[in-house]
Amino acid sequence: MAGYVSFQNVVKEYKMGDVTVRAADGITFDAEKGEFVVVVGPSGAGKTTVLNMLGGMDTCDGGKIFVDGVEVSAFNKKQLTTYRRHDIGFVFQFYNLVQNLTALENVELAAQICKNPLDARQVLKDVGLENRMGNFPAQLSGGEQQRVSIARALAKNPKLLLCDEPTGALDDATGRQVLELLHKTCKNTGMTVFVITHNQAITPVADRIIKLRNGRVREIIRNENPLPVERIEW
Amino acid sequence: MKNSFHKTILRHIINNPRRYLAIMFIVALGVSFFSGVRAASPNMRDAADKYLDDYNASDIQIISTLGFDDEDIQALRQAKNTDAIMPAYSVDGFVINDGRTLLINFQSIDTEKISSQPKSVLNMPVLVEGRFPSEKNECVLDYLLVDFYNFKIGDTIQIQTSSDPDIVKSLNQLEYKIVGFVNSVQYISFQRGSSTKGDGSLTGFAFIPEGNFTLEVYTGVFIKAKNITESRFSEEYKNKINQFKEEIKQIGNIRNPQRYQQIKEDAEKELEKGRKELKDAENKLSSGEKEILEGEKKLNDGQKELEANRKKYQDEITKAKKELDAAKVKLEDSRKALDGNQKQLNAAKDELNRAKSEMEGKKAQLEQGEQAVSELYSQISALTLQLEHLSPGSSEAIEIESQISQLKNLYNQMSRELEESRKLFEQGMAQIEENEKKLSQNEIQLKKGWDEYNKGKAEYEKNLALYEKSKAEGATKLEEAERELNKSRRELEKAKKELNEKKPDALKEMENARKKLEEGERELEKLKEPEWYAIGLNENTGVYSYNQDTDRVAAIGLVFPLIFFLVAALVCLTNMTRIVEDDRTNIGILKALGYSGFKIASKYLVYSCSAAGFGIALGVLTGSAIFPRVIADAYGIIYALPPVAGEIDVNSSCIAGIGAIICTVVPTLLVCYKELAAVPATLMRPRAPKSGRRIMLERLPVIWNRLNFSQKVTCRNLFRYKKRLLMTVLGIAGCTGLVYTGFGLKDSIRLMVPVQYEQIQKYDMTVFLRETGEENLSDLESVLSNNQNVKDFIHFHQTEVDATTDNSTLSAYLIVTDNTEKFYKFITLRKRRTHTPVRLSNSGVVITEKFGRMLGIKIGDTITLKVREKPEVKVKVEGITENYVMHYIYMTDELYQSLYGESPEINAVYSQIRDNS
Repeated sequence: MAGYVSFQNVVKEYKMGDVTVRAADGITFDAEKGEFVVVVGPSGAGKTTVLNMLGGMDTCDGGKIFVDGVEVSAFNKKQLTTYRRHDIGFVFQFYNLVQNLTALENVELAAQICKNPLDARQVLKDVGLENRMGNFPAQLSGGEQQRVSIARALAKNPKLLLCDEPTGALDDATGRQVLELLHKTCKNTGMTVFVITHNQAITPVADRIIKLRNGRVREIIRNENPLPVERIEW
Repeated sequence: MKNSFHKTILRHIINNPRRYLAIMFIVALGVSFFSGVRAASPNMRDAADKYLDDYNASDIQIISTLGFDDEDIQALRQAKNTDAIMPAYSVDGFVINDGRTLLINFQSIDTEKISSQPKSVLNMPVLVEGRFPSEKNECVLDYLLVDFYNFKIGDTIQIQTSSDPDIVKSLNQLEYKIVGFVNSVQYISFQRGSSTKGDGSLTGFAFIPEGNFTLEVYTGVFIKAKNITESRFSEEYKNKINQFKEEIKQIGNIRNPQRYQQIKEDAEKELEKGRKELKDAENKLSSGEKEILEGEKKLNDGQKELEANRKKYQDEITKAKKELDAAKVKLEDSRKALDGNQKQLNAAKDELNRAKSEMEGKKAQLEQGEQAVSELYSQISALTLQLEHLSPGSSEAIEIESQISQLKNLYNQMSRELEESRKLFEQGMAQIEENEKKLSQNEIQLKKGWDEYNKGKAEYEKNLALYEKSKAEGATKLEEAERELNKSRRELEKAKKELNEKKPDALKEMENARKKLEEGERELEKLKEPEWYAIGLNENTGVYSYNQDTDRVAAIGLVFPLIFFLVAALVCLTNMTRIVEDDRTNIGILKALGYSGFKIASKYLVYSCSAAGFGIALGVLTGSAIFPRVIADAYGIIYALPPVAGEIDVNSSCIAGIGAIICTVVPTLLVCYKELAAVPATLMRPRAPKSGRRIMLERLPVIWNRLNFSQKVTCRNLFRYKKRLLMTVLGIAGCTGLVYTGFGLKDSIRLMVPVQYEQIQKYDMTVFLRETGEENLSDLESVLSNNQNVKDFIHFHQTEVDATTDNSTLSAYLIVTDNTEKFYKFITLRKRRTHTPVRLSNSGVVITEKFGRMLGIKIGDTITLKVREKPEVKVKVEGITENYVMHYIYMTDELYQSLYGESPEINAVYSQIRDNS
């Protein structure tokens, strides 16, 4: 039975001249709706690749991807765009904010094309950036930028919230905050959240842990009793 | 909705203005150059058109070989296409200024109309300084002359007659005061036209009031056409003018024969008059001579008569004298006789007187007696009476009676006595009477005789006096006659002398007059029907050259702006590409956020379109404000036109605009398309740099190993970014090419002159014969050969010819020479590149290079030549020669003869001047 999110033998290859690299080599997993999924693995394991493919950011070269019963991997470009617009909220590892827009505008940028966006201001408040709404990314610290990025993704009110190493560049406290936020959102809104990290310490928070290595799924662990974020030791 | 997407677009522009402005300005540059330079030509034309409209330029100018009379003008006025017509007089005259001689074209203006209805004056002069003439002896002068010569308002110009005496036939006023300077729509360039006087080229023009011209016919007609809305530089205008010219030609075809007839008749009349005058003069001369001869004869006769008269006089005088003398003698005799008679008579008279006085005494006695008797009687009577009263018988009575009887007795006695006495007396008286009678008779006779004598004497005296008088008179008369005769002789001599002195001149004059009449007759023979030449405004030298120049500007506008435009396009392309590529991450973000490709592309489209849009607007505005003016001002140096308005040429602006949009938008779209083809993940990853590659040079270790690291890197880089390399190379090549072209153009044009006029055309002077003919040619050639400054000369024939190939026609000058070897000394015929000489032979013609190129002719081709009034002929082209100015076709005399059957008329001479400078 396919879950809310279902990867079935998904393959992703990169050809560069004569060289072919398989970033995803037959990835198969499922996830339920409203789960807090953490995808772990060492660098180069294919985590970002999986997330990208799940988020419609990239195509796959083999296998199928289902989200909410829809075969995302069969989408054409237009469908993918719509998918990304309405159903996906992506938090990037390197924030990827629009430099010439303020925090608020960055969030609005994402919100204004969605069907059912949340109020940008409110979301920013929720992420604790009430006083930073008018600042440009260059004027924000790393954590603040990441929170903007999250706010941006949240404001879209998506089905899936995909976060690529959201705490990668953050310190302990900020990282916790961010993680807390993500978790809270997941639990409060019923949004399915995928978090990629190479930090194993985060995994206790998750409902499901997908371990990747060398482009394959090593292990899928279901966590019956996830820990609250405060209790994580970085 | 203030949306962030729009904000990001806006901020993309504002935060990084340099690139945006770079695109905007390069677009502006390209567009401004394109639309500006392209607007130059239409603007220049529009300005010229407006100027010509404002000053009512005429559309057609007609000149005639014999001028125009009023009927011609009327016929033209009624032409279908005529809107307004202005006949005019014009004459060229020499004016001296600062020691230089100018040839000025004086044209008539209607000063009344200019001041009262300037809008309706055709070719209204454009007043630049001063005012229009109001007096007859005022003029307005060509403003062009102010720069080149020394003229001021208030100066007087004097038309010279020394080299041009005939000018007084055209003008009755030769001195004019300059009251203003004008430009004329007839002369928008610096060219002032040609003349038959002087060296053939006019220096300037002047307008003078119509009244100064004494010509009988108008020298030119200006007509403004109806329904002209087109630009004067357009094909439509040319067509309309050509149609109008056709109509004028038709009118001419009707008028010209009529005029010809008229002129011929008038001329014949004049010739007749001349002939008659000459005849009269001849007659006068011969009658004068005859008179002199007659005079001489008369003089001789007179002399003879005088002699005769003198002789006669002498004779008569002698005769008269003789007669007179005879008469005198006769008179003398008579007198003597008469004297005798007179004496006798006187004696008789004395006697008679004595007798008379005796008788007187007797008579007295008688009378006494009578008295006494009578007294007695009365006594008697008285007594008788008394007696009656007395009684008879009384004493008294008796006494008385006695007395009475006594008395009576006495009385009777006395009476008887008395009676006797009386009888005696009476006898005596009778005797006396008789004697008296006799005497008186004698007296009478004598008297008669004396009368006669006196008469005779008187007559004699008279005759004598008369004789004297006559003699004197005769003498005086003769003297007078002689004097008169002498006088007449002297006069005759004088007259003769005069005749002899003046006769040769008179004969010469008559000869001249005869020659002139002959010339006049010959000219009348030669007189052809007048021909009208209608010249459209599009053919006016100034307008035509302006048209050509604006064409050239338009031609420049075709190509050069494209080059700039290409540069602009290249810059846009690279810039937009770079902008889009640099924004790769943002594209990725937007794509990741679910923005459609189109929407994302719109960001860059807005960027590029707005940049281009502003650039276009800026370019069009600045271009049309700057370039037309700059170009027009540059041309303005040689044209007298008002400044050009900076009007936007919509056409080229649109083309430029579209081009600019294409050049900015298309690359944008292309690069967007390329970028957006990738998935967001790819986009958000930094672009993988292009992998390095080995270059060909590496395969040559000979070179490669000699290079140091930097050099190797440089080499690699050169070939690594091929597009950039190409662009750089092309860019530099393009620029170098442009610069090189500029210099090349300058040098080519500059060098053309010495090549053409020193190497190709090696003559210094060309003389054209206005009238051909052996005599004229030999006159000219002898003048040239006698002139020390002339080194050499050659005669030839030149005419205009139309050459046709299959589909095109072009005009050229046909030069025919009869001495090819010598001809080469004056004109070099050679191939342009190699300079190998091209020989002119009798089997074909040599044509000039551009001519050949324009008609597409190669050596060996045949072309058709059409010379005016000669049949069409075909010739082979056997040589193509280097040439840069005008088109020429060279032919030998023999070839000409074989084509046309006769030698051409030599009408020109090239000469070379000795190099003294």
